[in-house]
Amino acid sequence: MRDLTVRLFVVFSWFIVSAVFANDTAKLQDAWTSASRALPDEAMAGFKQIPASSPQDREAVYGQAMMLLTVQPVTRGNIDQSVQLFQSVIDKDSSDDLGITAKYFLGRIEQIYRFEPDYAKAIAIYEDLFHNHPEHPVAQRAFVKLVLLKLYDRIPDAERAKDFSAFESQGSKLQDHDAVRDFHLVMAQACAKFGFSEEKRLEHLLAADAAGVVKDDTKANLLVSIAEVARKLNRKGLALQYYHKFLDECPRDYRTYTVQQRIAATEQPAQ
Amino acid sequence: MNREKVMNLIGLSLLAACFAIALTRVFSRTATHLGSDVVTIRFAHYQLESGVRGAFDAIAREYEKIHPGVVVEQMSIPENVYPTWTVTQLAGGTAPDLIEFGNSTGTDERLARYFQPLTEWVGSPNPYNKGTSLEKTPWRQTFLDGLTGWPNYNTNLLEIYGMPNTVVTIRIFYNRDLYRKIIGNETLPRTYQEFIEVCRKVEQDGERITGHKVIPIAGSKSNAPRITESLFCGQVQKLWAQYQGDDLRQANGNEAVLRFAVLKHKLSLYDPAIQSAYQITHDAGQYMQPGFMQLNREDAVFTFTQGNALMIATGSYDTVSLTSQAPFEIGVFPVPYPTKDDPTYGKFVFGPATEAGAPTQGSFLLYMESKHKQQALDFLRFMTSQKMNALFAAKSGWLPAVIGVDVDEKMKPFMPVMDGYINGFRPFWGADTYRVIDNNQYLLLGSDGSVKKFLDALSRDFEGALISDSQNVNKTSRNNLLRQDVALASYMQLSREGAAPAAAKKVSELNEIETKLELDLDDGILEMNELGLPPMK
Amino acid sequence: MPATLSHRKALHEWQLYLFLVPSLVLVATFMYFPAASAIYHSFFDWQGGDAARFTGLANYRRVINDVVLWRSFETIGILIIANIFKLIPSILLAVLIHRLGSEKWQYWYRVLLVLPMIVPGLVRLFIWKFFFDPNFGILNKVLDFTGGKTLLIALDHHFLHWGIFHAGVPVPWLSESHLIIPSLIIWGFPWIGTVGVLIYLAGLQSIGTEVYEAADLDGVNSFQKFIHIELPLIMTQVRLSLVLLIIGTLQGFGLQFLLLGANGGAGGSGMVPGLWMFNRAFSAGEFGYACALGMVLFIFILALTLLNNKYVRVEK
Repeated sequence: MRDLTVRLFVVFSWFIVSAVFANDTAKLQDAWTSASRALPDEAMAGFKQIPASSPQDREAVYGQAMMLLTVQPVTRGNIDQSVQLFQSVIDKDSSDDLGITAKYFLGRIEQIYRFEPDYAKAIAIYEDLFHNHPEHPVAQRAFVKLVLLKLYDRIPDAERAKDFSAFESQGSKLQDHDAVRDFHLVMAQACAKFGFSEEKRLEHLLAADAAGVVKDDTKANLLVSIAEVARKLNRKGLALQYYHKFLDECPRDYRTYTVQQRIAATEQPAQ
Repeated sequence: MNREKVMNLIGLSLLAACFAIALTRVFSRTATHLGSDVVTIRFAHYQLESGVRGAFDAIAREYEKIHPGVVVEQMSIPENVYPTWTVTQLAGGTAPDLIEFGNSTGTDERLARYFQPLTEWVGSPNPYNKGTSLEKTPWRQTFLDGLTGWPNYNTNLLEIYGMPNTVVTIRIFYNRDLYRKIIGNETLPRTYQEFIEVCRKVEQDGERITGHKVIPIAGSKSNAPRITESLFCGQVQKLWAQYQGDDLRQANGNEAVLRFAVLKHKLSLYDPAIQSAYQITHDAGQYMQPGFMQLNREDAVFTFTQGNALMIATGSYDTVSLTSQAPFEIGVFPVPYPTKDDPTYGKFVFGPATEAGAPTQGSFLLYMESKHKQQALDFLRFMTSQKMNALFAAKSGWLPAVIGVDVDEKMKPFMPVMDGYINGFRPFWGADTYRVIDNNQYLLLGSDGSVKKFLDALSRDFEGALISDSQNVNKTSRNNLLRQDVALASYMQLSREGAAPAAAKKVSELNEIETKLELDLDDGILEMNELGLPPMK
Repeated sequence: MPATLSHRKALHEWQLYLFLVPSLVLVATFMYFPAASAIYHSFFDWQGGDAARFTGLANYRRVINDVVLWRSFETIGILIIANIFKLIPSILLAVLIHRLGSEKWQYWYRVLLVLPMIVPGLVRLFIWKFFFDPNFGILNKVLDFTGGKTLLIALDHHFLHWGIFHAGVPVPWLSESHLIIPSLIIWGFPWIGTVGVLIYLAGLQSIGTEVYEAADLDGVNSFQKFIHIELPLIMTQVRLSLVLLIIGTLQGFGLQFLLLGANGGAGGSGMVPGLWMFNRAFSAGEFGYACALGMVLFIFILALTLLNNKYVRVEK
């Protein structure tokens, strides 16, 4: 009888605790929903409601760290505090989803949130993340940020070209859909900006198209870019294919008439 | 009771009565929305023209017919108080479900905070187009511009926020009687050369023929740029294409490449194409009334409707007001471009510009905190269906925004001409470059003006203004990136928890948006660093 | 010297102080709160919405190198000096009305003076904008009719060398850089401010008739009466007008905005500090910087007011 009482008590306690912590889960979701709607004060209040004893506390701390970057007014003190909170999340476990994402945002802080960005530190964080967790989607996206920062750094052209080749090799191992897509978009843009080969540029544009872009205007620019580069490389078949694809998918675009002229010129037999 | 006391009592009673009436009106309005089974959709706008309000009213009544239990209420707010009114309503959380896009609503921050992006719905067909040629067309593609530009599509947030009702095109309106009298026929100019000939004839013979001074073009601070900017953009078409590397990828006005070309001294304000662009601006300006730069739109309209000017350039939205004010018949034609064989201006142009980018306007935004969001969205679909847009165009006298809508014969000349070349860039690239050009324009457009005087003066201040504008662009990109980053972090967590199935898709979108923003930002920072300048203020 | 009230007595009817609360709340909300908000935001990079980044004194450091701002102070300096001279017609008119023998005529002249006040200020600005119209405005028509235009052409040709006055070409008052400041000075001609005249009249009416009788006995003429009797005795009002004029001119930009636009017109000649503040806030979206400009303007106004109080003395 006593055993039964104890067992019933344990089960009953488990239900109570689950209910309380299930409530914490709901609160967390509400807080994240507020954050997604650009309501940082409401989100912060929601995160602070989660008690330290809750299993959700670590995520709540992570949420607070995120919100400190956006609650008004933005101050250096808030940013420093955010770094500390992210670090505390990483210290508990650096290899789970939350730990990896927290590390990623430490890099973001150095890259875009600090009043005086520290790109070298951001690059180091991204490199470390990708080195230690090459298969994690967030680490792969960190790699894309790393590529951007290094290619757009103020360095000699030769060094940039060397980095570009190294990134091509590393980038081929990416698996996360967004990382693959964005990696190729960045590489293609870098080719145009820094005068790397047009063939390389076309490769990356086609790879981005294969990965699939989401936004309509990115798609329009991508399709017309592929067609234009193919035309310049005298790959008429490919150029025409993408010019037609552009007209089919973007019929109201202001470049439509010019593209029709391009088609007419490209279809003309060589003189 | 003596007379004074009686008068005081009357005064007090009047005050009390007015207060009571005001209170009753306010509370009765609120009361209709409390505890009611009726769903009320409110939409607010500042188009007080009677035709437009009548058009919106008709659409609202049609919607109510097919949705019993839904009441649609129109709120017409005067334009001069509209910005303050919308900001107050948004900040107070009492905004109507649909709000017309205006200057106060269009900032990145306000859009992101208060309005629902519509991007996720525009890829599907509009159900209210069933039975029409647009039945299977994605909602976005049913509009003349495909919602690719301002004000509906925000290029910083990369989201569609607005659903339009009309399109605006620029035309030159002319006095038909006066034209026939002075020119001798009604053959309209198709090229810039022919247009200048018309202006010259008016200047030389106008007074002799009519008995009073006739100005060829009624100009003002707001009307003159309709012609001069068009001509300017035409002159820099080839230059613009050259700076795009003959690549259509970013031909939609990414002026960063031009800003940095000027700052690096690779492009000069004295470039032949730019000089030609300012020259054509100067030439056209000589046919407007002296001192037109100090005049308002109303002054130009007054000059035109009084028969003291033959032509005026303005938007299609002015058709109704001009035809109602003018005691004569009005005709229109597009702003004529120089042809390629024009001896002076031909070598810099490709040809007339496409109006495919002509912005669709009269757009409504969906309030994020609307209590009836789905219903309001449904009404938005209804309002922008082909059938309802045709009703709107017929009743308002404005152009439709939806393709396939038949327009009145009188409005056909206003419909956007889709075939045409990509236009060149505008002369200014931010608030400060606009200011310095505006300050020095009198040296170009005054009676003693010349391109040399203008460019010599402009060169002194332009670089500083350009640096300031570039820094502002970088700052805006950074601020937008920060906003997107927090949203991305939030959606990442929501998608991990499986809470919002759409969150995973949103994560993918936001990653793509961030990549684009970061490319622009890092490019801007690199360029400024290479110039030895602080990237942001 | 009023008798002092003990605290006990002062707080005896404490409920009466509650009647002050509504006014204090309104003043705090609509006057002090916006000012405090402006001071606060002047230390931020603020684009007018919710987002603000604390930047400390960065905005103030930027003010030091702001060429447009310091140039605008030159413009405002000229306008202040012009406005000081524009006080004179009001003072003279007040003296003339005051010296009228008939009280009935004094009354009617005051009525005629007050009547135009029913025209809203904005309407007056629009009317003046129309006066400046090169083609239909009354100013050019008067110049053509009176031959003033010929004089201006000769002046331009021989002395000014601006090249803006030509025969047969209407004068573009608001779209020619050299003419903007003269236009801002001409605005409001004949520069008789109703409120100013009434304030001076009130001051003049406090002068006793025995003073005038004594002056007559001493053989003082009209002009001497004005210089030695009337002007000194209305100096309190003149000083008040000066303070209000300086503050109003320094702060004001409505006139320039309406006539010239947010960019200050041709050559930026009409740019004044208030307009520059408006431009930075609403054209460039730099609200934080505009608040810092406002603080700098406040310091200027305070300094000038203190100078005015110190050096424009009223001999009792």
